[in-house]
Amino acid sequence: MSRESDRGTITMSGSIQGRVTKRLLLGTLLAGVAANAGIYSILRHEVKEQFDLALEARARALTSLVIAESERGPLTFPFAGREQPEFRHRQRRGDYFQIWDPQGNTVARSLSLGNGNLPMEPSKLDSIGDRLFDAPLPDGRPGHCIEVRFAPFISQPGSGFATSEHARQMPLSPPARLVLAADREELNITLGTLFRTLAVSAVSLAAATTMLVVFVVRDGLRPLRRMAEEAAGLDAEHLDAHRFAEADLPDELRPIAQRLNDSLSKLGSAFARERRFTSDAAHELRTPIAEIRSLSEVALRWPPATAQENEANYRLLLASARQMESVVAALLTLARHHREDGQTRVSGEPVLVADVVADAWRSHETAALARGLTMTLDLPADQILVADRPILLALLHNLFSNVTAYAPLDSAASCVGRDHGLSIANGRGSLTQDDLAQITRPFWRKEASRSSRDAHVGLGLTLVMEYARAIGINCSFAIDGDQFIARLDWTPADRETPIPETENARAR
Amino acid sequence: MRVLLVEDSVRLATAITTGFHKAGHVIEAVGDGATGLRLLLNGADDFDVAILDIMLPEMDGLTLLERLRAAGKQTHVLLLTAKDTVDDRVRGLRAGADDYLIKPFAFEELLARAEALARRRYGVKNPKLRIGGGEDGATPLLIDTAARTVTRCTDDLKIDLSPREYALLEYLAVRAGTVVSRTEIETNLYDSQAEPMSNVVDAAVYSLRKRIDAPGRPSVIHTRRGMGYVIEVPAGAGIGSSPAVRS
Repeated sequence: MSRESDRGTITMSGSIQGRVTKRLLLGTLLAGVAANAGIYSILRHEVKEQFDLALEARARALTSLVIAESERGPLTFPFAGREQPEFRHRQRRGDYFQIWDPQGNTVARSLSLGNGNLPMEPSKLDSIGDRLFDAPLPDGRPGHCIEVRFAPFISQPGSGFATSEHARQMPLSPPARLVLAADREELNITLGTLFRTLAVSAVSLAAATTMLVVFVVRDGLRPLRRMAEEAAGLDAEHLDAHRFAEADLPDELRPIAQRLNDSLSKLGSAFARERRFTSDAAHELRTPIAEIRSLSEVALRWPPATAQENEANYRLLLASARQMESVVAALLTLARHHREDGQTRVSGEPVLVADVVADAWRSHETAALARGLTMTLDLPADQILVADRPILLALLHNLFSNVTAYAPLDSAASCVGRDHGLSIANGRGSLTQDDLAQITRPFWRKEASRSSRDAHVGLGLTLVMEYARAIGINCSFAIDGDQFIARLDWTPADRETPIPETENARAR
Repeated sequence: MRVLLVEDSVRLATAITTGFHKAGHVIEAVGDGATGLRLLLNGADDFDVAILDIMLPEMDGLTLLERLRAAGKQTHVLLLTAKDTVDDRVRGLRAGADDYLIKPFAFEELLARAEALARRRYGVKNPKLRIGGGEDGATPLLIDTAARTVTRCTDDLKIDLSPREYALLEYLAVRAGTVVSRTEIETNLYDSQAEPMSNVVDAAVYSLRKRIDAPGRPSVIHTRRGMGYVIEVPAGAGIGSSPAVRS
């Protein structure tokens, strides 16, 4: 069994719906068949039991009429030769009985038997009791018989019947025998009707169960099926456009939908970040390329008339090339250090933080002076950090580059050491709290254009975060009043770690 | 053609302005969106084309464009940007841009697109313009605005013109049938370094006539005393069209 979907044929055997439906159907049908079989068996037994009881009651009634004149007989049956209506039925040809004395002589027989004998012989059992058996009747009809082995009561003088108080019976062995043979055709009809009724009922029940199971399973699994169809229709290019509707789902599926929606959000954000990064990177590279191309094409079409014009043109080309170089270098560095799992990769050695900070700041002093910036370095002389020195140096370079580029003119900045960390603070300029969430995003700049800070393409703080992750320190940013603060925090170094000796330390 | 360039990359702006100057056009360059919008709102009619970068300080190019269109200004705008996705292009065009060029670009293409937009300002789509050859016997000329060449039809002589002379002839030709004032010529063909009240326009027209007019024939450029200059529309041209520009 299969059904078509947008993605081709789906085989029911491979689906939850198919498996559940098949198993439910099999189980309920088997249970139904077993139940009906059990009901038939019980009812059949009961019907037969009732028939047998009725037969036995009639046989007992007949045996109670058999009287012995003495302990040695003879036996008499008071209704011998008389019409017995209970052995004739308007709609059937009647039942039969025959009674034998302990010696095996026939004492009485039913009129329906005439002068004949019952075709079945009584058993040779000598104990008192009953025996039920099937045997064909003299007229060929199917019959059900009971043989009763009994000890007749001895009659009282003058009454012909024994009273219960003084009744005496003939010896129990050998017993007298009575065989009563009844037509079992009606029993067979009854049993047949019962069987057919139960069979029809079973088939109807099976059909109804099948329809019900199929409907209930299909309806019950509709939310799951709908979710599967929604998932199949997801477009990787437009993840933001789709979310699974959680409110309409059953309790079992809601957590799944929630997790899926969370994953879609994260995936969509990741894709959006990647697209934005690619777009921004392309944008940052295209501009210097456009500059180089336009300058070159114009110079080729209208060659510079003077040496000064020529030189000016080449200087512009060189500046564009350098700009492109800085973008490419930053991108390559980012690619080298970036790890999605955020794991630390680089092992380090003990370094004196104050020395590294001093080395990093030295290359920015000129730029700071040009902008009137004053930097105060206040770090403990013996503060140690276990880290890769070149990466730590690059990290600090980027932070100081940020300070010299973006701190307000003629302002003060500071780099202060504290327990297991340091903070670099400078005037925040136009930065706001809302900007903090984006400042480490690749290519983000407060001012989206490139007007006056060609060397800064917006990757500096992105690289700071990657460097920090690579050497296992925590970097965070905050705005406190009019100050922008970059914080570096690390775990304490081993007390036994020796303090490294560097040129700066010797100079001090 | 008079162009406004709004581009914050100094080096790129230098390259573009140099090239447009060399091609005989007047171009003014500013580095931020706010200044660009002010110039366009106050003097939009002076500019044939505005070339806008999108990533600009103060105000980005798309916002500038939207405000320009909201103010009812119909200046032709060419967007110049490094953003190349379909969404970016669609956004720019729907904001009201007439054209979109992605960096890096061929300078010749930028120049050609800007010139095409400038022609559109005067309802001229055909890059080949025919002037003269009317009943007055003025010299018939074929101006190829794409190749920036001028050919005298009587003898198929290619006439060598300086960029400024060509720009003047093309400017008058696209406005054939309209008297163009000296002020308009100064504004569209000469940058702000031209002194006011100078006779630079008259001198330029005189020089141009000497180049293009065949000996013994009336000039294709007519003087309207006190008003300006005009290139006449040849007889038989339809009303409401630019008959002089059909080749």
